[in-house]
Amino acid sequence: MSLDGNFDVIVVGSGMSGGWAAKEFAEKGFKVLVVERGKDTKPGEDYLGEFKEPWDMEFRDRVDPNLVASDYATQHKCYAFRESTRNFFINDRENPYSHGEDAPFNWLRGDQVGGKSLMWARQSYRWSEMDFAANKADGHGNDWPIRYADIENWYSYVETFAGISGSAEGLPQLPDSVFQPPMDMTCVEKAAKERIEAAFPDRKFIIGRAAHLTKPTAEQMELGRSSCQFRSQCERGCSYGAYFSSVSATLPAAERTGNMTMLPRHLVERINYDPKSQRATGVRVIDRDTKQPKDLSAKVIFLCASTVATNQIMLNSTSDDHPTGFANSSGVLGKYIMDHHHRLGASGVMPGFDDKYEAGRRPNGTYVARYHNLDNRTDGEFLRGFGYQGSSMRPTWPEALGGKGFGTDLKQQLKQPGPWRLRLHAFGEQLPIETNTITLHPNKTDSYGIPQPHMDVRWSDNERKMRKAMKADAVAMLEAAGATNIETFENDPIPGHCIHEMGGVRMGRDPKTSVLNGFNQCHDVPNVFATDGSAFASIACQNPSLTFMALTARAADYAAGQMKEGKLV
Amino acid sequence: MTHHTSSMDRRSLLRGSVTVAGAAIVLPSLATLGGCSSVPPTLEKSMTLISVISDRIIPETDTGGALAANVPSYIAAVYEKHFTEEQQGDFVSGLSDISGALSDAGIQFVDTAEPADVDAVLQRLDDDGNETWQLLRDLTVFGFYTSETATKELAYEEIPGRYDGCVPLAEVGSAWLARGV
Repeated sequence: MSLDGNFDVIVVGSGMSGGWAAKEFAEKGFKVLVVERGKDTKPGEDYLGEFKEPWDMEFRDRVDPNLVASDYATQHKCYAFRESTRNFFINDRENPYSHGEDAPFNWLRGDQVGGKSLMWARQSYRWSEMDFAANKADGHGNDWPIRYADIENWYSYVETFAGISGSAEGLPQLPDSVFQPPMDMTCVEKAAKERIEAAFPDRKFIIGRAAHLTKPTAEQMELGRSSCQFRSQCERGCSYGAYFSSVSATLPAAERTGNMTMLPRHLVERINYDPKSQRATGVRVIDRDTKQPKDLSAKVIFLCASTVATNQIMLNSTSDDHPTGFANSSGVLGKYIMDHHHRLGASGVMPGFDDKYEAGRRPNGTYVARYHNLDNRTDGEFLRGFGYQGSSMRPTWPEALGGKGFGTDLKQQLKQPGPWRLRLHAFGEQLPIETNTITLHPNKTDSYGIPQPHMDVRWSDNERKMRKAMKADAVAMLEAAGATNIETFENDPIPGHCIHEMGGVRMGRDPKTSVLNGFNQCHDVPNVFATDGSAFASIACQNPSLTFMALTARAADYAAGQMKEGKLV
Repeated sequence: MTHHTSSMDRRSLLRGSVTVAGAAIVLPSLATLGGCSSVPPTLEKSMTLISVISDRIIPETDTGGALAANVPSYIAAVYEKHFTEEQQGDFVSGLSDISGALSDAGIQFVDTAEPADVDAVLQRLDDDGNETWQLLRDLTVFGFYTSETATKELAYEEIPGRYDGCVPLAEVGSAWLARGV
């Protein structure tokens, strides 16, 4: 493939955001080069764990603990890390990063075409007006340069293409998407919904909104996608294309235009900059196989490398005009890093449903929409809010591990499912704080000689106060649902662990306090955009991927318009 | 290759001694060792014990048990490839303690002993929270319920193709076979 062609756009990264940028530009007739640091992913063929039964794997989907210790010291902490998904996780030994001794950070990452869109949890929720107005209302962080009205149609646009299953609820704080039919609730969830909503009129217990096809459109079927088969092994990749990933949806759409060139196994070291024109000229990439650098040029650069990597690339792209990092005249690059704080909640036994069960493996749970501080009030116990992802299940044989008993009695006991359990797991918003940062480590480099990103992200009092309410409310809702034997759980919410890390290249109205404008475009260098999580000025409490998609499609549309007008040439 | 030969010799020897003793119980367990593939040398002399105990943990009922599911070879593979040297040492010495407990109860040959007598010793280990017993128990439970044999024991669908959140349990008939942890 020739890389000296006249590319209009270079997209850095091929995950959730990069796939959308590639599709939008390619469909609009622009020549797009997608640079992906990871290996190539052919749909189906490279879903190495798909269709493997537990007994097809020598260790039944468990990863060799020696290999975990040597190569996956961080990645194995991800709930989705298994032998059948290991090919989608980066090798920690070969790809080091740094964090303070007293500030742990779990950087969970893919290393392939498709990025984390292959093993994401598929939960898809719109933001509301409240979320975009939050920074302005309480003075933390800077004001978002956009409001819900600016993105509403873009949500509809990406949802129609991606396919989101869910139920329309008419909630102002969690606007409805363009939905495909919702997945079914269990009998226990239906009862919990009725009881919780009766006890707490401000709360809505709904089926999760998830990027799975339940009634595929003609457009989706044309791309080879079909309905969810309820195997619940999504993180291995899905040959049915039933859940949204860039590999199943956006990249094939870009590919069929003939306008996209994919360059796997090349990582971007820096953005090249021409001081005369004060524009970026392209990127310097390193071939991971030969370790040779190469300069690639284009009119416009879209950074979609993931939050940490986009920060790293911009911080590493220094020049005389940009001594502290690319497009950093504001000085805020790498600051205000955020993640959702979670790993806290409660579960209980739901009596009265012992004769009921489910059929099929639903790859989705339930959701309780945020109900605290809906008016962005500042006089409550804490600022902002949280939501709950939930699940219900009847425990089976894995519950016996670590327990007692053996023989025919044990085998007979495990023949029947245990009592229904209902679980609520809280996800809270973290405030944007200047001292939560990504910097480049002064000495440590990776094997390509690129300075390692160094993370320093800590929770504040607001998160600590919020967590008390998150736990207490979970218990109160389980009580209202009629649960017994209620137990709370709480683990240390390591930043990064929620895999919703965002910020560092924030959007804003004022070039003095933000890196990007309202179209994800660098204030300082108009032909460079960042449209992944790095662009976020705050993080709401919803899962962010749907908003990555909408902002990317919107920014690509804007950039395309600018190019057509000759403004970005 | 040398230890393959020696392990085959050892197994032939064991098989012979069992045949002489006239008991059949150990034969299926030896037959499941997977040819002469992969019993690590340091575990060889414990394989009979592992086979008998795993069989007592998940016995054959109207469906196959741990032996039908090749659990002993699964345990041998975990021992060989997943355990650290220290864990291997602890496991072998723990097995030797279990042998000792069986001897103390008057059981010299676990493979020919009355299952009820073996169970009585295992029950004591279970009550006492013996670590090696717990490991054997959990490896057996995990190895069995992630085997194809377990698809006969519990309800299983490879590709469900639909989701129904609320069906009568009687319609499914048993727990669904979870796909491991």
